[in-house]
Amino acid sequence: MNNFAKIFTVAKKEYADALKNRVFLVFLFFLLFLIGVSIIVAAFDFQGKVAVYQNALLKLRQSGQVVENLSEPQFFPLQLLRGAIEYLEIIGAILAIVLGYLSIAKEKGNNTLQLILTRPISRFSVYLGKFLGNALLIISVSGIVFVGITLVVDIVGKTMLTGSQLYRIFLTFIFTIIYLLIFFSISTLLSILLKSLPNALIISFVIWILFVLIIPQIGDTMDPDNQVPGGLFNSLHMVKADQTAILAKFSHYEKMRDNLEQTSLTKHYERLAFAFLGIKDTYNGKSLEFIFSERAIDGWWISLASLLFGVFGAVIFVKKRVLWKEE
Amino acid sequence: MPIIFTIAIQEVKVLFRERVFFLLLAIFILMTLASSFIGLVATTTTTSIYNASVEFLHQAGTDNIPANPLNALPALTNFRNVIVYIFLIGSLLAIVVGHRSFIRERKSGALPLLLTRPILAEKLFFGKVLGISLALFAIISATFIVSVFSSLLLPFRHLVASDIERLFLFYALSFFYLLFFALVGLLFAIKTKSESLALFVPVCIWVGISFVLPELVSGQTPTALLNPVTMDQVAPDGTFFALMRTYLGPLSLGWHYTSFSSQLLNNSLQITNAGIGSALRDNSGKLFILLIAIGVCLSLCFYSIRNYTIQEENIYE
Repeated sequence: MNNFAKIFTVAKKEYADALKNRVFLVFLFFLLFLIGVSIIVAAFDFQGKVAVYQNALLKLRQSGQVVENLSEPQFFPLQLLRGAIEYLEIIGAILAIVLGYLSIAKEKGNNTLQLILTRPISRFSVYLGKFLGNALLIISVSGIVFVGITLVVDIVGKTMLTGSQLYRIFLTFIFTIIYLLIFFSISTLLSILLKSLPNALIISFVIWILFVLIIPQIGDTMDPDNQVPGGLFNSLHMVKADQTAILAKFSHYEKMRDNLEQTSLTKHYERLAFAFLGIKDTYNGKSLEFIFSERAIDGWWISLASLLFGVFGAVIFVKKRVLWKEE
Repeated sequence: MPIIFTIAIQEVKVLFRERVFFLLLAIFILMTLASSFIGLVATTTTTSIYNASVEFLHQAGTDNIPANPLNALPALTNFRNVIVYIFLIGSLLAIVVGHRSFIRERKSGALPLLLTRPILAEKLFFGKVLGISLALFAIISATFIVSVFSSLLLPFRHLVASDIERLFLFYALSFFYLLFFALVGLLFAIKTKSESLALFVPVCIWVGISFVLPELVSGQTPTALLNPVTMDQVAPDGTFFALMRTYLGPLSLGWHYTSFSSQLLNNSLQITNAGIGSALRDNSGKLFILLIAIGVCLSLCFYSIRNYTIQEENIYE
């Protein structure tokens, strides 16, 4: 059996094992359910906004007031995906952690790693096989999620997505895979590196909570316009151009806040996905060339992190003298 | 010393010896401390932005400028980020406390010995619950002290006695919220065969309670639920959200915790500066639901420990 065939055999085994694992299946169905729920909630939320607009319009007309200043809520089907992207950030990352943990834990728990390594297969090939199998699984899971997302948006939004919109979803799908591989690699790395598997799992969760929830939350909380209910500038009735002029004087603070947010890999993924899908108003309706020119750095960051953690995991797996020792 | 206390004290001692627990605890306390600092930096900058805006508006010829809205916010709003950190890190820490409490016994092999003596099953349960409660009490007390000291050390508006009372009630509520998650962690550590599943299922429940149910009830996305300014925003109108509020509202413990905490810390969008009595009265239903949830978890844990059968375990699966 040549080396590639060996790697492929390990990958196939990883793929099949994960599909039989209850923990993985629980999280997969949970993720699919949450994404479906988030799109439906977003659709009802939009309907609510339309109803509020129509009520306000009716009242203004009845009282004989001018209605030109009232702007009608615009429907952008891809904006329904905000919650779905957030759940991919949160639950998708947990799913990837589960895969990384199980990939190593099952071998350590069953003492099969020692047996595998007595066979004529290099440590690097075993690692590569495991990585490939799980990467294929992440691609399959993301594929199911994004096909599901497209169908639900079509049905809930009562519209057929255009070719350009489908291409934007495809780009988001690609970067979702890269993002999820970061958490898979972190969890695999910790499971190889630490003697205690539960500690590896808990530390993976600590890293997850920091990257996914805490750092973005701090950045969001430090936003000056988030300090007062309704927003500071709204309370002063200031138009957007004036707000920008004022904030320009506090660019050092904004830069500090932005730098803090940039330490979170999740934030990079979110910024990129929100730009592709037009969830962030600044990028809604803008060309992909414009989006790439503005947000390419986010793509580079998550790709680099994914590569680095993957390579680091491989190095540890190959170089660590004793891979598994009973506590 | 009664055996229940021996088990409880042993529980706390072992827990505080664990490095991972200490790591989580350190992050939790650091974040509590950081939340005060973050609040200070953000409010100072916002005040400067307000002053610059006033100058700008004056130059543009506007006279009728509203007063700085930050000055109208109560002193306790400086601690509003703590709600988020208890909601996020605290509950995850509590799951780990509950989970480790039983998994430790399973892995050490002490459980078969303990459960060969029938009377010990009940005592083991009460000892474990007491130990978990003591550990959580120590954690909550430490964060309460950190909050009070940070208010004295940082140039905040000083807290008056009623503010301290509100802060105390908030931490008391947080204790019960964390106890619920610790019991969920304990329950699945008893019920589930594999160690990983025993941790993953409570994490799933945590995500459901913290994000899914509040989203269905309030229409807010997960990240919006982590913004202390808007976390208790009312749901949009419509039949869907009305139905969700009616049927899922009572189960939405995370939503109850954040909205009740917001009122206690005077951070609520709905009621600002409402008296403590009024806040407690308005939220007695939410507190009742939380206590019921704790009661249900306690009963399930008790039943599970009594009926626990020793089996050959592959805890790593």
